[in-house]
Amino acid sequence: MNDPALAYQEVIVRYEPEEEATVKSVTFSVAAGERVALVGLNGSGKTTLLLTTVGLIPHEGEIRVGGVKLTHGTLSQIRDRIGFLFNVPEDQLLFPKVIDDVAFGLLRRGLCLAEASSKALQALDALGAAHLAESPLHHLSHGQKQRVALAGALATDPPLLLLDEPSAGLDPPGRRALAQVLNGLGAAMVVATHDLDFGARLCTRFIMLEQGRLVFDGADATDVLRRWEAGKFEHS
Amino acid sequence: MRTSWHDIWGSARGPVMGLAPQTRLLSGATIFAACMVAPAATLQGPLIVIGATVMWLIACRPPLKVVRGALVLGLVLFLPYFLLLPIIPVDPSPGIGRWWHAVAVPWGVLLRGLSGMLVSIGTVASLSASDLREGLLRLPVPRVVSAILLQIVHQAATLFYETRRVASAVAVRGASNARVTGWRVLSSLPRVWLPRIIVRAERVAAAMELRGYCDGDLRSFRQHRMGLADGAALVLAIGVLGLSVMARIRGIA
Repeated sequence: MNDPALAYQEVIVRYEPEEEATVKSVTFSVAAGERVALVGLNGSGKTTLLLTTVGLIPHEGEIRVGGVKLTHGTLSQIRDRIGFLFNVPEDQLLFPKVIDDVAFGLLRRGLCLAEASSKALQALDALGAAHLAESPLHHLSHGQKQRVALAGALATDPPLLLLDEPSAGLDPPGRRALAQVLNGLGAAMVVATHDLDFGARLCTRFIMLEQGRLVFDGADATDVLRRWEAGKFEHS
Repeated sequence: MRTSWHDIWGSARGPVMGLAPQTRLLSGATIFAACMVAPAATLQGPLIVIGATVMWLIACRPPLKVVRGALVLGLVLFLPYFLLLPIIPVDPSPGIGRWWHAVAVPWGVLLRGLSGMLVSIGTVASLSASDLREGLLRLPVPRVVSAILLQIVHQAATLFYETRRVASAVAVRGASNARVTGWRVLSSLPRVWLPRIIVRAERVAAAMELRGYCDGDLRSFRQHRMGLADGAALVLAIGVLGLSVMARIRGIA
């Protein structure tokens, strides 16, 4: 059982058949429990790659999650293994009340109401948001919504987390607290971010995309920063 | 608990708030049906409609400003139908009855339209978005219909706030007063608001798919017990509907 938590094999993604690919033949894998920062400029393909991993965008090549190949038939099995955070948290909050939204994934997995509510509350508590449990979602700030959406992703205890800009909109103490919470998890994660400080605090490996190509794969955030500052990855 | 839904519609404070959500929803729908069924051209019909509407509003107690607004909007919408009187054919028989025959048409539109609006507003104000979900899940409504309806309500609230943000941005970026802001927001709808909504709808659809929102059975988040008061409210509402149906049958006879 040494399957990586996530593996991409020559993955190509294009939104239209005639268009240039947004993700161009990307190959890498993430070991179980490994935390990878996916960095790159706007439009470099980070979000596209994450959305492709959960089958929301068609792809060429091969994607495996926990050894299971992503196909139409395995889609729900794969989605059940992934906790996903969208880059606009508001989009994934589908219920009027915080606790209901966080508990939804647990109820879907067959937990009883009391158990689901208790686990949802624990997930909120872990992110310092237990006091928001009974709040209406529309009254929350961006940072609070971010934490609620993340609680929903973490509540089911998935072995793989795909987080798109998790630190966006959080204040510095919020970022530190979030990095601390995520550091305490055993799940493998891929964190798409522009925030190198946050990435360095959380991840042990950096993968950089430029115009859909994987151009850097290494352990040192300073390397990423150096390459970034050298202007190698400016918009063409 | 006030919710965003109530930011838009106002929150009811009447005795119906003690009833289970499904009772509120079903009673409101039954009273609404009674208002639509009752004949407008007889004496009993309007009495039943006005009585039922007033009783329902007292039972719900939505904010007065919302009721006032609905009344004004209803009158603006339905009174102009009386302007059609000259072209509605009158009864050829002599006497006052010949005019009543023509007046009954716009009067029916006004009575049913206004009462329908007021009953709906009372019902909506008595249901938070969570209540609506719980109510729908306990009624024999197809699950897909409930799921879509609930998401429309949830996203409508989001769009309400989005529109407010667009209005603030327009105000900050140059509109000098409220009227100009309103006009600019209105004129910017197709260019600014609509594309935003479309993009947003796509993203929400992706999130719904990923989270399995429409997969399997929707589960309830609360446990509501139906009590004696719920039974009494339903019997009353059904009684009003029965009266309306009887008045209708008599009117036809």
